[in-house]
Amino acid sequence: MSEKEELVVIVGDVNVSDTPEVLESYSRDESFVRQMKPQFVARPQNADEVQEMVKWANRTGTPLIPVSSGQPHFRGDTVPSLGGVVVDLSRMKRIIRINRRNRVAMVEPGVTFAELQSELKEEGLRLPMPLCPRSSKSVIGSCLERESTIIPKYQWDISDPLLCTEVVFGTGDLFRTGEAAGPGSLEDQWASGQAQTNPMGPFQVDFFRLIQGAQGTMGIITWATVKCELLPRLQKPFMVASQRLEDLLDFTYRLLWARLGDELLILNNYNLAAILAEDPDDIKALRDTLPPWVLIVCVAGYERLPQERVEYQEKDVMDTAQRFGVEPVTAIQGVQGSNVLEALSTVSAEPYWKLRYKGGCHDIFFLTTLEKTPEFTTCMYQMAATAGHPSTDIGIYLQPQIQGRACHCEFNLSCDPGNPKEVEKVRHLFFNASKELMEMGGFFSRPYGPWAEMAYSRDGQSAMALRKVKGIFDPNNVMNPGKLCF
Amino acid sequence: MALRGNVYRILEDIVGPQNISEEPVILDTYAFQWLAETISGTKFCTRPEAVLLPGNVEEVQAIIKACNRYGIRYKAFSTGWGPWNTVEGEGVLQLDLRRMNRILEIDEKNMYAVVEPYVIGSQLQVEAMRKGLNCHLIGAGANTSILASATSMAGYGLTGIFTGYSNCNVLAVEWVLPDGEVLRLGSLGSGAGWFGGDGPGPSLRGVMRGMIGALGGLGVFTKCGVKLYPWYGPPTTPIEGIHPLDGMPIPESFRVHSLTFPSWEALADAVYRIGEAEIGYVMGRALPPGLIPALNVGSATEYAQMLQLVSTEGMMDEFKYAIQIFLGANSARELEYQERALEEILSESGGKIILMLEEQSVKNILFRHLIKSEGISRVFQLAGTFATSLGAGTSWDAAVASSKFGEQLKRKYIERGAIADDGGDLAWGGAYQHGRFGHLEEIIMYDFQDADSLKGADEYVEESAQATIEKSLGQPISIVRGMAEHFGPTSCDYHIWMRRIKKAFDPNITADPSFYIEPEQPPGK
Repeated sequence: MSEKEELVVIVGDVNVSDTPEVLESYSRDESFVRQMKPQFVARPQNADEVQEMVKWANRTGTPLIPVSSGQPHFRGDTVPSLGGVVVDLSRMKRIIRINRRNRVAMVEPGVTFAELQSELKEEGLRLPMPLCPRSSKSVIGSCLERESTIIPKYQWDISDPLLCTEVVFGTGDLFRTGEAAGPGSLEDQWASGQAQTNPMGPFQVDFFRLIQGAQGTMGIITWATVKCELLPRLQKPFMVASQRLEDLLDFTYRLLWARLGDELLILNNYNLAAILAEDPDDIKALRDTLPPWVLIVCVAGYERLPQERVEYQEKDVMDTAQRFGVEPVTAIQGVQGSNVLEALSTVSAEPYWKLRYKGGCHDIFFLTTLEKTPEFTTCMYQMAATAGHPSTDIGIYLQPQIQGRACHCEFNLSCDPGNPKEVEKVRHLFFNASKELMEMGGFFSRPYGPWAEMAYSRDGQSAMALRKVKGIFDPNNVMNPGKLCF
Repeated sequence: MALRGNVYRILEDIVGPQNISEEPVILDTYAFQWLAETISGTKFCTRPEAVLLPGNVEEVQAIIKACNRYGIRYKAFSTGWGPWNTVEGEGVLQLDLRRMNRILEIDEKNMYAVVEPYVIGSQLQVEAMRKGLNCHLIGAGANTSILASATSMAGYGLTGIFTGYSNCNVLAVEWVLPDGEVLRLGSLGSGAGWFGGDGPGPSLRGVMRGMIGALGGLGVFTKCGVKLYPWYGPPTTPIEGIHPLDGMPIPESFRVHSLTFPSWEALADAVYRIGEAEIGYVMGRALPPGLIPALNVGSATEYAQMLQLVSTEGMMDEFKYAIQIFLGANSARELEYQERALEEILSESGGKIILMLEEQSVKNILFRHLIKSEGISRVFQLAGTFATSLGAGTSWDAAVASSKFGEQLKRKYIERGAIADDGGDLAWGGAYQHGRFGHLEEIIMYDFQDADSLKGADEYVEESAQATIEKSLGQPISIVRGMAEHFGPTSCDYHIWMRRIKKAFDPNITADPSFYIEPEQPPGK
């Protein structure tokens, strides 16, 4: 049998594709990662089919590139490095279980934020959201990427909200991580009251941490449980405007210490405009009216005494603001906090907000601590000026993480993909700024594309240790080879 | 078997003559351990070949490289408590990390500390409180190593509803791998500081530990960053009274209550609601019924009399389905909200405040003992020692199911006279991360000098562990040798993957594998 015929046996005729258009669409993304076509795209529907595909890949030495979110992709992690077969998990769309009592949902990798959000709402739950994800973004994909979420107080561990998983390792073995591993089947565990809320283990190894952040190089997740939060009954968003980023930081630190507010993030004027406005002209106009920096903090009340909770939090936020000389308001330059909150609470409208201004966007992001973000911001602006990229077209997103122990620092460089000169300019800026920001101490914990070589050249011991891990879980290097340090 | 002369000299050159010993009297102090009798039948585990006291990461690295060169096994020991800290087999070195006892940094703004292995909970807590911060203290007490709990052991503690679980509190780590190479996890490895332990790429925290740690089976941890949490009390905390009835004045920003409910189900409902309401600084079953008579007695005889007295008078009923909760708040408004929320939860769950524990001096004692994690001595006091069982980290409903079973099983052993009669219910534990998961471990007290009692305790622990398999009660906390071989086949054969990790990271098998996993599968398994 040909390779295609073998794949057809596993996933069915209609779920294997090698048409030029399809292969072309998976051969590239919005990043600067080199284009390469896969040989096939296969769409399994369940764990058995995934497992069979991984076993087949080991037999034939074929690379597999798992993809869970729909297009457009941005990071290069779903672009084949060495050809192979794209494993498109978008057919695995089951929301297997929502457990209100334990605030947890079990979903397959093809489930998007929009799909899960509406189901959770009916149960009085919500997901901790990344910043306005695109409508095609997979919940599990986002969790596996350790993408930051906008409510830092619920992020006890950087791995949140990912909990237990079922995974097919690169060896073809099926495994369940955390308390889901056992003893007992899932049904047995449910019968004794378990709800797969504990991601740790089983026992002495946190297997889930080895899959998360791996860009599909260790195995393929076939379901995961994710932490959900209560749906607010009442919400009151505030914004604090500032000419200088520095002037917002002590106030933000104090809110984090006091666990005041739920959504808590800082955007620059460009990004706030890009999220709210509908087209390039509106974005430009709004950006130019907004103050350079806006802190967004939202207080909320849940099922328990919602009004009282909002009231005490609002008063405490105001007292804290007074102490730090800042002024939380409900509207800035005609932008209502409620509109901002609405945008932050759901997936992005189309077109995706990062593409809305010029049609293309390249993100540089890393972890640092909040007080260091002004230095990075200054550096980014200086490098943009040197490169001739307008600083007004740089989006900035600062997201406290792990309840305030770290901060996700993200620069969004918009560009017109139809303008080769501009693309080239942004490409240079992207590479040079990434290097410089890393030199300054930016921790590129999620090293996509060209960052991998930069990051691992600074931390050779981690690369060596990870290769040992890779040798255990994917000894034949069939899982997304060429990514990270593999 | 003494170390060969040249090996001794090499090791002596690394740490200096004052920091190495082969004296039996010194070595036995390491072998003398809680629960040793479950391993050896005596209070002593295996005597190490020698003990070394390295003073820094370079010395640890040099020792481990020498161990790899000469085929010698080793195990690290910080505040060591339990046989998993001691060595197994002949010729194994004990690395006592007590010279590495510095708090290297407290980052007030970003709420974390960087500590060496012998920094104990109370040491860090005192310094953190001066800066409006607190650390997660485990139930084993404030005398235990912060780093060991974060990197190598478990991590349950009664402030967990507010301060999480040790696994989730660890940030960057400096780790001397079993082959002697130094791995710096997360942001530290990239030269970016201590704020993160994950990446670049997959998190090697996954290799470092799981729900429990590698228990010395994967090298030595020499520094780590740990999360600190807000402290809403004063910078210093005066102590009043004489131990064990010493108390601490309760700051205005805190409230201390003991709550009772009509049933396990009502208690479980309340715990879920407390978690959802995001209230509570301390929350858990700090005073299970079996502990109540122990609070102010000095002997097993007095305990038995007190147990009978309180049982006869019906006082125990109040504690059957009871928890302790401390409300702690950043402001008077928040405290008022938390109190109102708690009132409402009590009303919905049929719960009430235990009035006999509302007396101020009693509350002061509770406050001190739970904020400072000082309750463990009670369970040694009565029968000589204790063991624990069940206690999976899981949903609160499953924790309650496990606790119900534990009580039932214990009664069999109490009736047999094998373990101390504590009424059957000594299920201790709490909820973590605003109630996202919880645990209740069933404690037994027994006399390690009595062969029947020891046998009974062993059998109880084994039977409870077996029940976790048969009844799907989660992954238990009770740590026994061969745990991976026992539970692996019931839990996706995780032991096979663990063994591969061990071999990949420790090719010469120098890190004592006795409480992690043996490199080769035992015959017959």
